[in-house]
Amino acid sequence: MSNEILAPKRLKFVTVVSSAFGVVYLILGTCGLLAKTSHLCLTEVTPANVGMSVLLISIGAILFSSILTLRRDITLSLASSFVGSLLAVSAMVIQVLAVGATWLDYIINGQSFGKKELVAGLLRADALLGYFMLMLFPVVFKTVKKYVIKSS
Amino acid sequence: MMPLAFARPGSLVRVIAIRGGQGVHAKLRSLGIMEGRLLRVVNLMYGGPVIVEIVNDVGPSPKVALGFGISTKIFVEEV
Amino acid sequence: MSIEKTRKGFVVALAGVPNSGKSSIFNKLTGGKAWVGNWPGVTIEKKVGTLRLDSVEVEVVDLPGIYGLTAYSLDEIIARNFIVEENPDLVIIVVNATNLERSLYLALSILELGANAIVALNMIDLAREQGIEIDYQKLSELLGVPVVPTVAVTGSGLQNLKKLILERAKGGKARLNIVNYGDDVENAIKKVEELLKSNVPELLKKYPSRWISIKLLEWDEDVIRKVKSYAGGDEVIREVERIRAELQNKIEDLELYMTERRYQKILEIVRSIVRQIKPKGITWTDLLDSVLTHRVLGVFSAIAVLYMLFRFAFEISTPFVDLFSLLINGYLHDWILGLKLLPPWLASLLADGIVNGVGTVLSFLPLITMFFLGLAFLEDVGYMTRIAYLVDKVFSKFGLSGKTVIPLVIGFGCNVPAVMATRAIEDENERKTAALIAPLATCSARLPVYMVIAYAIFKRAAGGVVLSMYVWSITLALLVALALRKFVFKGSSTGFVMEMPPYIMPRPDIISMKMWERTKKFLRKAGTVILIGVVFIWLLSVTGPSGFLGVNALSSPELLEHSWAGLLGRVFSETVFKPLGWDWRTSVALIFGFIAKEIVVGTMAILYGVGEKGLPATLAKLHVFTPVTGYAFMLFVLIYVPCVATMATIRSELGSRYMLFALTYELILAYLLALTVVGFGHLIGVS
Ligand SMILES: Nc1nc2c(ncn2[C@@H]2O[C@H](COP(=O)(O)OP(=O)(O)OP(=O)(O)O)[C@@H](O)[C@H]2O)c(=O)[nH]1
Ligand SMILES: [Mg+2]
Repeated sequence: MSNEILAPKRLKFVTVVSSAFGVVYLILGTCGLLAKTSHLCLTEVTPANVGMSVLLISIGAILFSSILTLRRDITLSLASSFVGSLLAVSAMVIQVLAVGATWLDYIINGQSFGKKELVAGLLRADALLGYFMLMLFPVVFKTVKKYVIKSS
Repeated sequence: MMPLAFARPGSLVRVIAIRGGQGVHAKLRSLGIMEGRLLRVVNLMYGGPVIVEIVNDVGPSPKVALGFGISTKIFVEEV
Repeated sequence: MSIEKTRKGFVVALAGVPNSGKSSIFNKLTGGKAWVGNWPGVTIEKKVGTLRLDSVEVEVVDLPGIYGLTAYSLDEIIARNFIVEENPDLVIIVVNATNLERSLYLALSILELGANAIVALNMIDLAREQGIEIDYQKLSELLGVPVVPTVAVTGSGLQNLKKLILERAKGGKARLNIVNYGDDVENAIKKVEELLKSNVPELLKKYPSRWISIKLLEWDEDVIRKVKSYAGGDEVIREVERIRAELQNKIEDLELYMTERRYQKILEIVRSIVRQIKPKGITWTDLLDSVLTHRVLGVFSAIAVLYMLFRFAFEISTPFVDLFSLLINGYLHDWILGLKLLPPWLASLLADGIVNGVGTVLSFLPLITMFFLGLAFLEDVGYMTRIAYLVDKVFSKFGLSGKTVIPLVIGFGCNVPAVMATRAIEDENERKTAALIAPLATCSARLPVYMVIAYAIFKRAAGGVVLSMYVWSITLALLVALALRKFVFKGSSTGFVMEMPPYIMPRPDIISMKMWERTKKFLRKAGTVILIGVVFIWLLSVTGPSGFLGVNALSSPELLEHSWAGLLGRVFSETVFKPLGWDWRTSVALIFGFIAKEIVVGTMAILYGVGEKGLPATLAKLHVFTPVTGYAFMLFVLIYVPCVATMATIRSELGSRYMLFALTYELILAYLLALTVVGFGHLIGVS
């Protein structure tokens, strides 16, 4: 099938990089879950937020699985990189929007500008990692596009 | 020969026999699943439903999800 | 019921396999707003619209999708009966170019029936993306009817379709024998045709003899019944039984054989019309499905997608909700009260009644609109079917098929279409169960109640508390389903069979149309039911057994307690709701919430005389709820009677007995659960 079209180097790059990010997502996700109990884990980047942690772990698991399935099933491996990074970028966009919404809310309610809170929001793990994933995404997308039959 | 419910994800199988009442038969046939057809197992949940692609040599191959109950009644052979 | 009687021009029906784009074509032809979505079984009722062509008025009927002329579910029966019994002047067979085989199977069945038909070859854009080019002229030759290629969503090809409708609606002849069933069966068909001619000539005025004969040989229960209803029919059936027995000496499985002949013909047609312009390979849908339907990764993806949708609707709409609330409950309210020319009672009715009541409900409009946007996105990408697949294993433990998840998700928007959507479920027991649990899906009308109370009591944890209502909603739906399947609708399930359509990039115009349609319904409800309810509550609170209390009743708690509303509320808050710790105002809110759940919030807004701070702040300031009684209240609102409209829908779908049943179980369950929460709260000492 179309596997041959794909430069193996590029495929390996996509897989390795997204799996590496997967590990980071998994670690930060776990940190977020543990933040309540262990002070070691509580940082600016990973506040104790169950929703965020579950999201990070889900994305991390998908991204990481890319390297596990590379040998067995290229489609699945590539799809994991793609879906994982797509979700990662969406999570970032939503977090940034949510921060924007909080900021608007401050203005509407006439409260003072919670600058610290806003910065913390923009540096939260799902946003922070998302900025990097946004850079990776075009590469993944191009690779996947080569792999599937091209649209006319 | 084995039930479709226990096929390997990604494998290509041929339908050998379909057990079950007339209703099951007719419904599956109107979807194009019948004895002799080739199916590609897209994904399955063990003990749950399976997604198969009804393989066509020409033209597109549509996908159907079948519940565990039905997929244990479809007997297939890996090709 | 028959459209025939009222018609002025022609009746044209849209028929085709599910998800082929019938409703999209209908919308483009008639300018209508039929619901579309990327999963099979969107349309569950026929919908009529008009199309003016030159001076001719054409009635276009959109039908639910069907795979063949043997129907299994309620929606399929509606479509089948329309095509077979109502004799439309023209049937537009919508063929899905990305699903040719199945579409042609149905097309052949309709042509065999002798219907005057044309073919709309739809979704050719998607077929081309898959590397497929279809020779539609050749298809037209082979089927003996005109074929028009179309792309329903852009409207391309629809001019040609309209022209063809005008040409062919007057009549055209169908070719009945496209499929040749082989000498043995063809001979048998001839024999049966003779039989029919001599025994039941009346029947043949309605249906072609070849079609009846084929269906009899296939032992189609419906057609057998039809033949038997004529004098001389029984004899025909006895004779057919003999002919079938004779045939079965040569052909073991007659039904299978005939289906195979049909598929052979279809394959022959497909081979001669399809040109693979690009090598077959992995498609986007294949690629995405390998993860999204993976037994582990698929679940992770679903969690991520749903959680993000939830955040999208709830967090990003907050500033807009606050803005609306500030404008309506703050500025508008004060402005009206400040108008010197209005008599005080009118100013109070407008400001304290309508603006506070309806306005508080309306301030949630941004939230609800964004929620609808998310829902429309889910529906149109094609992800709903994947959710159905992912949950099937769990749902089957509760006696439901994965398909049930679709009505439940729709129910998060509104319960009325959710109850109707259960029609697409084949199994009768399963369908009734699904319709009875659909009201447990927490609809958008309940959201304002959760939001108000969660923000009043739980502050920072409000998001999680609201999310927990969704978890309760699904858990309770499954548990009630389990109980119903165990004790009421027994019997094993026929199982889950569902097509997985390709993913498509949602079109902004369709998404926004759907969002707007749903929002419009909400606005209309606010302008009618909720408005009336709110005015009524205002009346009840400024009057009492002693007559008119004066408009300052709403700002003086002592006076308000002597109003009708106060008396009514106290009857409940001092009896049934006493153990739950809800005051008389919230009790009144619950009583009128029967009509529509939004009224709960509207009523509270009036009775607590909401200032510019909005309802949550007022509730918090007055300490109306403790965390325990507040949570119990939210749960009660989740479960007890959804609204009058949903009850009416259950009645029309299942009958009054089941409606009463739903009403009773919901009230009992709501009360018991609220009681449990309060009891549990006392036990662990949070009150
Ligand atoms: N790209 C593309 N998409 C289409 C076309 N026609 C319909 N769609 C999309 O396909 C999906 C199904 O369309 P519907 O019109 O709801 O299909 P239907 O035949 O009415 O489906 P049921 O009511 O479930 O039987 C929708 O998401 C449409 O937007 C087309 O020609 N091209
Ligand atoms: Mg439709």
